[in-house]
Amino acid sequence: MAAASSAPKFPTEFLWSLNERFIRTLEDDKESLEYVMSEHLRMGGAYWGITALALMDRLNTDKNGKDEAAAAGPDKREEGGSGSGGGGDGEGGKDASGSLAGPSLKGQMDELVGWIMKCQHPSGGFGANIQHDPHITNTHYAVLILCVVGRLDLLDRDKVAHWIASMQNEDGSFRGDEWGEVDTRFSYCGLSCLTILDRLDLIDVTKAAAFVHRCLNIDGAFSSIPGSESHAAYTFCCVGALALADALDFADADRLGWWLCERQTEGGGFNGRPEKAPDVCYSWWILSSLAIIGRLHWIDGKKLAAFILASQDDRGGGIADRPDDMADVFHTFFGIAGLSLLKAVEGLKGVHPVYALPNDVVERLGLPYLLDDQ
Amino acid sequence: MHNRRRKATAGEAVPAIREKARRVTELLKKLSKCRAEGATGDDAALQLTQRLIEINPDFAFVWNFRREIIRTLLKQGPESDVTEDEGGGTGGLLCDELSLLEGALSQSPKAYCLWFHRWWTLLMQGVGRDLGRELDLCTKLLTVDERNFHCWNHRQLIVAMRKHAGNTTTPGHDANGQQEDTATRWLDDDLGFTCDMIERNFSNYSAWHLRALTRTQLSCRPGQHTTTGATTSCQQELQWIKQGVYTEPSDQSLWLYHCWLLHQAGRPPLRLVGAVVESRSEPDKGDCRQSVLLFFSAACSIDATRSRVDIHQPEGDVHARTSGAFSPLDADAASQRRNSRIPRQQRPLQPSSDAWRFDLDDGVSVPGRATVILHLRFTAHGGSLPSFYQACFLPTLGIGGDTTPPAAHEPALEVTYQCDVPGNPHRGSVLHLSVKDSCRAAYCIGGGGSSVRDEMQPSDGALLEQELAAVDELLQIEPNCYYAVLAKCWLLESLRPRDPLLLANYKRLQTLDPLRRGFYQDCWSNALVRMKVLEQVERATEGPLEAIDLSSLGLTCLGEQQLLPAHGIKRIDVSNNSIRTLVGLRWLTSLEEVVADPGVQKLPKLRGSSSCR
Ligand SMILES: [Zn+2]
Repeated sequence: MAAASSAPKFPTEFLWSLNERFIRTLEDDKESLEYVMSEHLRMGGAYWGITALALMDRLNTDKNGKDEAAAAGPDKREEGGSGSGGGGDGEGGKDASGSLAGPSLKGQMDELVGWIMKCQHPSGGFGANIQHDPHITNTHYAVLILCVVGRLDLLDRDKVAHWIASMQNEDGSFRGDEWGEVDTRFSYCGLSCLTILDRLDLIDVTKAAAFVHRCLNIDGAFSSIPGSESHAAYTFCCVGALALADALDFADADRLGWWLCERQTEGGGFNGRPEKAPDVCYSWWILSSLAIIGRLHWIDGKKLAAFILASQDDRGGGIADRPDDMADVFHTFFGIAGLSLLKAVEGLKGVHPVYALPNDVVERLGLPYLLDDQ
Repeated sequence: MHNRRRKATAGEAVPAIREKARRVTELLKKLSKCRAEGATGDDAALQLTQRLIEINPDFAFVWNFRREIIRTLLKQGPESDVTEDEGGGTGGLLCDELSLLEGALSQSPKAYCLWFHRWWTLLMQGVGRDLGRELDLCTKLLTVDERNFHCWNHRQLIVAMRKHAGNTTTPGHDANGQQEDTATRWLDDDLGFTCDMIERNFSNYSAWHLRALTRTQLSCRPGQHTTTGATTSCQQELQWIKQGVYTEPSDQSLWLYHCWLLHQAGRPPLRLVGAVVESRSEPDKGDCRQSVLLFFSAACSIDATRSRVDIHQPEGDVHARTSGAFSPLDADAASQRRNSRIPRQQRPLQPSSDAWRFDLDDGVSVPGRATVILHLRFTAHGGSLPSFYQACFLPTLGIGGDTTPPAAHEPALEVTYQCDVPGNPHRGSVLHLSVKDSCRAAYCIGGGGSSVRDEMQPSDGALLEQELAAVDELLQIEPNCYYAVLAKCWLLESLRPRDPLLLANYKRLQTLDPLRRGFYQDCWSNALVRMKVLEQVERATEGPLEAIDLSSLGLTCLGEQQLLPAHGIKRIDVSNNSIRTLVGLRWLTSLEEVVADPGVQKLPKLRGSSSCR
């Protein structure tokens, strides 16, 4: 990345107010093409947005984690210098009668939680939106959001847990839904949910780990299915799954660590596979994997933080996949989570590398810590 | 959302775009309504899903509905779903689906849903499906984007499907041999495919990955494992890489593959890095008991019931099987759950550890001069080891759907190690065994009826020396190629682990490639610890070595393997360094005192060992 004087100047500080406003206004314009075309990502979007706000400590929850309607005032802190040109046509609050259903991230927690619960399918799993089919990833997102906003009590835990357990195959792997797609992402979602719900007794944990183990490659990293190429996102899922299954022994930390640190490119950003372009989302997947195996010091954290910060949109807020691209909530969350693991921005809360939840939430819920440090 | 440039103006304001959004919303609502009314056998519904999918192939719920419709139509259809290329009827429905997908995949080759739907359609087709055409499609799409992750994965699923079909559709008594031939031919085809892809572009790690996997699978097939053959073929591969490296010395794909080849040639994935006999007195019993401690390069699971220890004494040719029990060195740590929510009954039957102990039964002891022979059987699902061997079992993989899980056989690995007991033990209560030729240990990978013997490739010194010279040659032209410097370090680690050049090169890497300074620092630190430990062990010629001093060396980490030659010491000083964790001391079972900087994590529990002589 050429940070030369002639090039446009990219942000070097964390843009608190802009990023917060970006997230809070995401779901405002329910009639935009952007919104309509991301219909299948509604639950994921809610998790990324809410958790990003939680890491920024901009989510109003009381000491028990119980929600409280946030004041929704975006300007609690002063912006660090850069002028804020209004981004997008975010007038919000339009009459949504003709538009699709969806959550609000304005801070009305009851509304958000109500929407999540409406996304639950009679079988127990959650869909991406109301009336969508249940899927293990959306079920995981829903459980995580309820953790963050402290409303896990709303869940019929057994029902959700049984649905997830019903997704485990004979070989230990997990299906995403009734259609039978198999992928190590689903193993991670399954193990994480059932740990949070404390119903690991419903599945075969040893077999679950054995399947993940079959996705270990000769380069030390992991893949989506046995035999396919190593990939940073799946490596996170597999390392996380192994940590949850108490089988981190299956990973060769030194070998995996080298493959992971080789993902850092000259400009500081990480790629997901050898000889590919850097992308902010890999910041999270690689850093969290390195953190889990205790090798976070093998990369240049300063340069990575600079890359993430430079990928912020200094007009509309949010973080993009790389500098000068369009920001979206997915990269905004992964960028912020990366900055949190790097401890690069004062004021950001710590994030747990396995659960992808704020550390204080992990602590409040009494989840097993799983890691060596602290 | 990827690769979308930020626009200066808000594009949403354009009326045409808002209009499109309105249209899509309408279609989505129509779909919901349609579905709520249970309109699944309906051609109009099928058309509706197609329109939406053309707008956005990532709409997973639309695909689900489409599959429901197809499933219903197939059930309603009079013909079976597998018609022989007749085009009409319900068999035609699935064929149409594949054609539709073929077009869509050319448009959006990275849409998850398209790939999954294609796989599902093939599953629905059952035995009549044309897997050859599928592989051709993959080849075609990989020509357009040679790193397309989805396409490579799809190819992998098809290969598994083909293998599975081969296993179930060739009955008869002579089928086994034929099956073996076909499987080997397929692997050869795959190898040829990777070759084509790599010749087109050397920087294709996806192809290198498949190549490494296929070579591993081939080497596990009967009759494919001669040592000389393996060495020759390894040399050919190295020669081939060399062409690429000279063209593009900083290409990571090549070096990752290079690293794998060297690992194969120089270091088998599981090595016995050390073995000691530890004697300790048991105060309550008043006598002395011995344990053989085994230290491995990777975590593994020893199948205690099917492993044994023999002691061979040259005088009188006594060959005795000893009695005792295997357990992980630190059984407490091995049984301790970090995820306390895993129920007790879920604990793996086989604990996994990189250090094991074999406690000899009361009254049994290792004589002063003997050979200890370890017949170990490892279970495949346990430890980081079998990743390499797992590849041999991959063809039987069953991934969801209609493929069944691997056959009931349990893959296992049998290794025989030979260790000599030195004539004069002088490390107090500890006897260091000299591990003979760990690399040459015979590996036997058993499974089902046919077991495959694989003579592990030996640590081929000549090959590695030759490669070291080649890397040096490259460094003459490309002195700043950090991958080459790192490759040189790895070669030296195998060939001359005490060469000071190793330290100099790890230092150099820290300036050549500052992004990964922390990694090189740890490598450097491990190398230095190894040298310092060996130096102090060798200096102690009179009597047992009691203590090791590693203070003020600028160390950042301590490695178990590097410290192992000092096993038996009681004290260690690691103070005034920048070490993060002391977990590396865990193999030194007789430590009583550790001098370390304050704040360093993970001081292992110290043993006040009352040793006997
Ligand atoms: Zn990305």
